Amino acid sequence: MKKTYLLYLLAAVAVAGCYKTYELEWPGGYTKPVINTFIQHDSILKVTVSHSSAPEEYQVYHRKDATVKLYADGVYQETLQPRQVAHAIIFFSQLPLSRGTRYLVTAEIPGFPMAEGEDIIPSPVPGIEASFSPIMMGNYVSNYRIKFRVHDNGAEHNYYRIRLFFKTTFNGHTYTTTVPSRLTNDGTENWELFGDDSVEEVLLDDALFNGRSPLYQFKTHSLSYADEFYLEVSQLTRDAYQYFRSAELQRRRRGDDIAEKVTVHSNIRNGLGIVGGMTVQYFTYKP
Amino acid sequence: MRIYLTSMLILCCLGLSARQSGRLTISFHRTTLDTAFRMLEAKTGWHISFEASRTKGIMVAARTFKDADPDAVLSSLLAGTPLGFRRQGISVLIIPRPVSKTLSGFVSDVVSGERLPGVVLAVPDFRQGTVSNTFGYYSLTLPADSLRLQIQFMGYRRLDTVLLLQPDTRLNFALEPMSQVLGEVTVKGSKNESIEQSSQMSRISIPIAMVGSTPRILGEKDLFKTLQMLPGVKQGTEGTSALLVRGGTPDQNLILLDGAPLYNPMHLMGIFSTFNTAALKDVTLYKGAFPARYGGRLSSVVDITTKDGNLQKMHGEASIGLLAASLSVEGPLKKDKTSFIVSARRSYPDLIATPFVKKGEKAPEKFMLNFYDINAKLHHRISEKDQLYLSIYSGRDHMRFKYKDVKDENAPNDYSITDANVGWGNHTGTLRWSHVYSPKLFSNAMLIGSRYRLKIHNYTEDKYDGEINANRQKLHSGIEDYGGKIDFDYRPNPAHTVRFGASSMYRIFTPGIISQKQTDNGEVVMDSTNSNQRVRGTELDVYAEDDWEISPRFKANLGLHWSAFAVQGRFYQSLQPRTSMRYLLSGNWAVKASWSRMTQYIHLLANNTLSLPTDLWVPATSRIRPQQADQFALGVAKNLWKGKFEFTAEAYYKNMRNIIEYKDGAGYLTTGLSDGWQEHVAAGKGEAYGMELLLRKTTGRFTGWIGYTLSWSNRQMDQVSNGQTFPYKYDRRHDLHILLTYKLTKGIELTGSWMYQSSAPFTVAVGRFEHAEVPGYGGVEQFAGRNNIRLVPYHRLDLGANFIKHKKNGMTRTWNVSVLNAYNRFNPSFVVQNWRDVAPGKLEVRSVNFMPVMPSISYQLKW
Repeated sequence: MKKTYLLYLLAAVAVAGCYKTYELEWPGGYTKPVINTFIQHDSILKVTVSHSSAPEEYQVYHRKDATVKLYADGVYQETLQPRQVAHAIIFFSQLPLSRGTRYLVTAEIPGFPMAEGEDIIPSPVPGIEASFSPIMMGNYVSNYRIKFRVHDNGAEHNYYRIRLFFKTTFNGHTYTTTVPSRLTNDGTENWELFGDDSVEEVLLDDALFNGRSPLYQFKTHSLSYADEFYLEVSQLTRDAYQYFRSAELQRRRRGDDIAEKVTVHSNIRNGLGIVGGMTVQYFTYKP
Repeated sequence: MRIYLTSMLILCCLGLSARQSGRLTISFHRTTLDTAFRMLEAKTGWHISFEASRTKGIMVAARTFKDADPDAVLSSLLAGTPLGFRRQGISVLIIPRPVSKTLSGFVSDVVSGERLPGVVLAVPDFRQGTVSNTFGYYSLTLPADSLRLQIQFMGYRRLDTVLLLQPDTRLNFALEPMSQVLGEVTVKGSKNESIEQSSQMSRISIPIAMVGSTPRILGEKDLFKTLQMLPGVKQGTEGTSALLVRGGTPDQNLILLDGAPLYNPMHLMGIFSTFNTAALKDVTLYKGAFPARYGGRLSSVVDITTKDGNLQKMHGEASIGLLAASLSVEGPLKKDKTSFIVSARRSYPDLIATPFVKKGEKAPEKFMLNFYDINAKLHHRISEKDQLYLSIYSGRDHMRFKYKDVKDENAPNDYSITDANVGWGNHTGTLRWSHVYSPKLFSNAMLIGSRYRLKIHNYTEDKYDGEINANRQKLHSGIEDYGGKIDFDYRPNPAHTVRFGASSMYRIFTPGIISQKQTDNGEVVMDSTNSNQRVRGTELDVYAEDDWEISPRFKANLGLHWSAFAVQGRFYQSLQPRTSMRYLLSGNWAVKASWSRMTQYIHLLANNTLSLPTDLWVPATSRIRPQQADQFALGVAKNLWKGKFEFTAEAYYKNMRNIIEYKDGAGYLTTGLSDGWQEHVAAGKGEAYGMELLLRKTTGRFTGWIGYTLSWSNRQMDQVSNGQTFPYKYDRRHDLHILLTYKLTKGIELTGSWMYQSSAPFTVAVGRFEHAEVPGYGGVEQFAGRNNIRLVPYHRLDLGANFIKHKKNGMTRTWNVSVLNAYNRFNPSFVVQNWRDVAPGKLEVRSVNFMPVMPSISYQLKW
């Protein structure tokens, strides 16, 4: 028994001796303008403009005083107008965007050099299949299996993002989730030696299956209360893909002691953020 | 190159000028030698004595000398005759010209028959000498009929002998170890060549016995952890065995095991190096001033030679620690002719843990977590002139976790399988033939094979409702080398040691090939591989060097190394000057200087702050250029206090070009099944400079060293850290190491080491900005550059004791007790940034310490 106590004591000393906190002065002077927008076919443009803040602040300083302009294939189109939406200030365009055009978004914020970013809208892949099936535990549904198959276009380098949302009813009210549900990965993208095995978004690069039709399978967590599922499949441009990939990687590595820190990809000159093109399709399933 | 040629010219001039004295102008008509002597006497005032019978009939051709050295004039007159001369002041004696004779052979240990490298053979009367080479071979050519020879090697009894020389005298010497002679006296040390005499700088030899004496982690002796205690060498992340030499990266070390290159020689994710010290004979580290015979890496050479095996009788060694057990056996297959050594080591915690792990609630079906390494060597003396060696090394780490999950009790046939299997390791083999062509010419020819391989296999299988879906992914990465090498060692006279040779290596790189296969009810729905394909290249190397004693005070090692690499239709080549020189000042202070250019045709891609086996070895390609570095060093060396201490001080500057790193956020693990690795790397430059001091005691009961390093190491890459220059991740300004071993009694040896290092840099975010999909939420961290903060200095005390007992049956047992980090210093290994409850204007980081106080014990038995 004494030996057991000794072991506990040694373990406690080892654990207690493993962490320590240090406080340092923040050097400051790193504030930059931030432009964020995703461009989609047949949608108006919605842009947020802000500037970065101190690391301990989660608050975003939207800049209503910014001048935001839209250019299509190098030709000025319009100046976007700001509107308050919930807690955010969003700049809206008047005209919908269309595929096959290169869009440039510029933002002038007083006190900063002009920031700008550009991208295109990718063409949709015609052959995407998705199916759902419940996994039973006795007479109850424990979770769902999702099969996803994409018939990739071999002539292009394609990038995909897959997310799951659902609708549920609670106390007579119907809600649709805005945060994606976690999907248990089947190992397809899990090359991290000690990585997560469940993700909020699955990001795919067609390098391994260019021009082919791979089948991916995911399992949901227990979602027996869902009334309807929405599987969102987005085709991304390379910039958009890199933004999502690096943002996801930064989040995943936040608690990783040994990993090199990740800078989130940006295609904004003189600033941070993303102007990214995407084409989104939804697949619905009603249990 | 122009500087190099100019330096060579200056050296030659210095060599000539060292022999010049008074001058004269004289003309001779065709005459007899006697008459010429008289004319010379008249001009110089010399008295030339000779036997008339020896000069009779010798004629001298007409010639004129203007402003010539009188010695040179006399030498010219005697050229082509069997006569020479000795002059003392104005007295000149004409004597028969002594014929140069060569003494050569091998030096070995009298007990084991093991060849001894680095033995000094001195001829005091001639103020000449030589040093045995890696294979114990020596050669001395002197104009003498007899000589007095002193043979010295640290840890062995000195041998003084007088020899009568024949034209080609071949003699093998066997030295007697001190322990055989004096019983309990502890004499440890390395090569006995005086640091003042050698033209080489930035080289340190570590006695294997010293590795055994230092405090151990979990009872394991570790060669690289001892090397990390030397000035100019940094340990990288706490607890790991990575070597970072003079601001270089781990891949810039050429690690040769019996001539074969090793890649990532680490066990347990880098905690231990792969060398079983029971099998090692000799280790030499070059941090700079690389001799021309080495090439292919920028920052260091670690040349490791394994034992040949005892030619006289069987011996063995077994040890067990908290982590691993090892066994080593050596002996003769045929006495004095053929010997062998086999040494094996395996970690065993998984053997103990497996039964407990399998009893758990979510018990794995298969569980493995271990490493092993095996060294084997066969040595055969074909004849006095020919030796054959076959060396094999195999080392591997293996991790595997396999789970089978049946979730629904009502459907027991439905299941899911997850099988993760990770393994990495080196396998090398060398076949060497050493041959003595003549007493002055020795060669060593090698066939080399080396393979490093990393594999990660993931397999998932899911059976549900009669459907079986399987997904198999494999990542293979590695490097294979196959080739040959030949080295010649030519010693025309004691003033020159000439080495030349060539090698050719065919290399196959596997830079992270990912393949994926999916089946749906047995039908293959996808079977493909990413775009990273094997890259094949051939590397050629040719070199020549001369260790030239230009005058008793001035010695230089002048060399050239040419290398080339043919890959993907490109042909890279590089001419690399290698120079080191020594000038003896009064008081025997040796001033040394060196310049070496190195070219490296391979790169290592790492995306962690820790060196892991998952790092990728990739070649220079048609798009990625080879790495190159120039290193300059200047220093002094001297033996102090009757040779009991060695003192060296060196300053160095190294600039590195075309070094590559992943672009920010990239990595093969993170870009997933993406396109080629070449798109995700950025090339740039590096700079390292500093100063090193070393005071070392190698003899007596008290041995060890104090080493101090002041250094800087920076990197600059256009696509990393916004193009700004940033400190290399292991850049530490000050570095102090003290390693002491004291032989308290015959059976007790005490060791202590203390190290101090300035704080290392870490990367923290300097800002935050809005996530594009969550307006109003500042969820994205903003980085200003890599390695932008430093925390606290690192220091650590390690203590150890060896309790040795020589038993009556001839066995020796040793208990080693070690305590690492004896005063439990908290040294930050990694940092994680805190975000919550941080005061405005502050940054807060939480750091993690890998190594709290850590006691260990191990047992070793020798017979």
